[in-house]
Amino acid sequence: MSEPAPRKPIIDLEGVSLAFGPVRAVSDVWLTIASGEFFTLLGPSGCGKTSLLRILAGFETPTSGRVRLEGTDVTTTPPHLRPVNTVFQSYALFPHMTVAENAGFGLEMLGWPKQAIRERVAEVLALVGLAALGDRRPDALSGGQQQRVALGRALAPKPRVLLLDEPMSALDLKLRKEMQNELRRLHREAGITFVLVTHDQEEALALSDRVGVMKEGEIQQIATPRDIYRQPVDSYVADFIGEANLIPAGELDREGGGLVMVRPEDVSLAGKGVPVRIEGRLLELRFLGSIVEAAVATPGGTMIRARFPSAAMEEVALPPGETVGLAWPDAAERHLER
Amino acid sequence: MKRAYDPTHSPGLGAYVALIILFLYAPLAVLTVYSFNGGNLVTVWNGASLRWFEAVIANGDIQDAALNSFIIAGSATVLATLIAIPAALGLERASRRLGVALGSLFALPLLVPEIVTAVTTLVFFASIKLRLGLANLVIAHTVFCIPFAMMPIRARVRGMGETLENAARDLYAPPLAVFRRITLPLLAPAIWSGAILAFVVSLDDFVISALVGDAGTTTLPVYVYGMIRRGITPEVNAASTLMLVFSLILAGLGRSLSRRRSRR
Ligand SMILES: Nc1ncnc2c1ncn2[C@@H]1O[C@H](COP(=O)(O)OP(=O)(O)O)[C@@H](O)[C@H]1O
Ligand SMILES: [Mg+2]
Repeated sequence: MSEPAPRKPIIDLEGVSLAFGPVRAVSDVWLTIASGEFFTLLGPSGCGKTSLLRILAGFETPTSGRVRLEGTDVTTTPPHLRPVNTVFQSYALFPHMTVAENAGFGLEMLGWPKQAIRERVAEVLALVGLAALGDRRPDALSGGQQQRVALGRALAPKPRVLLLDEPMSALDLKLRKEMQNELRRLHREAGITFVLVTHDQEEALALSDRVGVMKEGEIQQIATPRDIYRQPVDSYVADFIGEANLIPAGELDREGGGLVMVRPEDVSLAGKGVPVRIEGRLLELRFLGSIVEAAVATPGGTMIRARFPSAAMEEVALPPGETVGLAWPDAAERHLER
Repeated sequence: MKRAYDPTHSPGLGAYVALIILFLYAPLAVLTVYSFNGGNLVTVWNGASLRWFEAVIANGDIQDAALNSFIIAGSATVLATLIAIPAALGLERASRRLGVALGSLFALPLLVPEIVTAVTTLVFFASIKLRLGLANLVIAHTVFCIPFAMMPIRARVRGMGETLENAARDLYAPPLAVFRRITLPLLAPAIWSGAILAFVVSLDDFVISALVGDAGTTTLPVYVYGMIRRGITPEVNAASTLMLVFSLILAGLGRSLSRRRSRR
C-alpha cells in the first residue's frame, strides 16, 4: 500500500465547521478525498467523526464552510439528491421489509424498472454472501448478516461514495477481522470511494489508503498509514496510533525543547559497541515468547518501553533495578514540537 | 446478598387482590347475568331467556342511538387520528421546549373536568350559532379524542428515532416517499391502537354527548340513561351487555396490535 496514484478529487471539504450550540462537533476541516480512495477518519469517541460523516451524507448542514462532490457544491443539497450511501452504525435496516426489499429500496427510489432491480439485488446479495436469504426479515438474521445486508443495500445503487460509520463496532473480534477482509475486497471490486469512520487504530491502518486523525472536531493529520505511524505530527497522534515513547528533548541533551518520539520496537538495550542514547533503571523485563518487553525509567522520570526479539536477550540477561543503556537508530526517532 | 423484595410472597396479598377484583367486576358480572333474565323485573331472576336482547335489537330508538354513536365515534376517530399523526411527529421532533409546551396543550382535554368542557363547548357552539346536528358532536368528540389517539403514536415516534427515516433519505427517498414507505408503516400499529382507544372513549362518552347534543343526536349512553330514568328494565341490562362486549372486543384488538408492535 504505497502512495496512492494521483487521482481526481471526489470530495472536497473547505473549512467545514458544525456547531451544536456551544459544542463545536466539527471545526474548520479542510480535506480532499480522491476518487476510488479508501479514506478513514480515526479518533476517540466524541471527536466528531459521525458529525463529519453526517455532513457528507447531507443529514447536517455545516455551520460554515463548503462541501463539494465531484466539484459540485452540495453544501445544502438534501441527502436524497446526493450520490452517496451510508452504512449506519446501527445498520438501520427497515424491519418491515425483507432483505431483498431492503437491498432494492434505493434502486426503487431511483426509479429502476422491476426486472433490473431484481437482477441488481441478486448480484449485490451474492456479493455480500447472502444470496440465499433474500426473503428473510432483518430480525431473523445474526448481527454479522445484518451488517452484510446494510453493506449490500448501500452498494446496490452504485453510489459514487460509500460512507461507513463504525460498521464493525458491534461485531465480535473474529467476525470483525472477517468483515475487514470483506470490506477490502468490496472496495477493490466495487471500485468506489470508501470513507470509513472508526476509533480502532489497527482497523484504520490495515484498511486505508489514507487516514485522517481527529481530535475535538479538528483533523490533526492526514497521511498514509505508514506516515501516520512513522511520522506523526504531534504527541496526540503518536500516542493514539500504536505505542509511542515520548521523551522530553532536554533529557537527550537536544536543543530547542519539544519531544522525541521513538516506537518501542525501535528501542533496544545497548550492547557492546552501540552508542547509548539514554541510561535508566530497568523496572521490568517481560518475556513474551518471541519478543521481550522492557520498561526503563530515566533519571528525568520518563518511562521508556522497549520491545525486541528474545533472541537478542542471551547477551544481556539483567536483573530489575540494574542501570541499562538504551539505543535506537537515528531514522527511528522523530522530533515533535508538542 | 439481600433478597430483592418480592411482592408476590406477601401474606394475604392473594385475598386482597381477589377482593379488589370482586369489587371491580362483580357489578359487571351481575349486570351481564341479569341481562339474560326472562322476567320483567331487574332484580328477580325468572329463568334464562334472550327476550331482552331481542327487545333491544328490535327497538328502533336504540337502533337510531347506536347508529348515532357509531357515526360520531367513527368520524371523530378518523379526524382525531388524522390530526394526531402529524401532531405526534411534530411534537416529538420540535425543539424540546416547544414539544413540552404544545404537548401539555394537546393533553388539556384529559385534565379539564368533562363537565367544564361540555358547558364551554355548548356555550361556544351557541354563541357562534353552530347548529350542525351530529357534526356538532363529531367536533366536540374529535377534540377530546385527540390526546388518546396521539398517546401511542408519540411513544412510538420517540422509540423509533430518526435513523430509519435517515436511511431511507440516504437511499434517495424524497420526503413524501419516506413518510409513505417508512414512517407510516412503522407507526401503523401505534396508529391503530390509538384509533381504537379514541373510538372506545368516544363511544363511551356521556357528559359531553348529553349536554352538547340535541333531540336528534341521542347517543347510546345518553339513550340508556334515559331508559333508566323511565324505570330500570332488563332491557337496560341487555343494552349495556352488548356495549360491554363490543368494548371488550375492541380492547382485545388494541392489545394484540400493541403486542405486535412491541415485538418489533
Ligand atoms: N445532535 C447533536 N446535538 C448536540 N450535540 C451533538 C449532536 N450530535 C453530536 N453532538 C456532539 O458533538 C460531538 C461529536 O459527536 P460525534 O460526531 O457523534 O462524535 P464521534 O462520532 O466521533 O463519537 C460530541 O461532543 C457530541 O456530544
Ligand atoms: Mg460516532
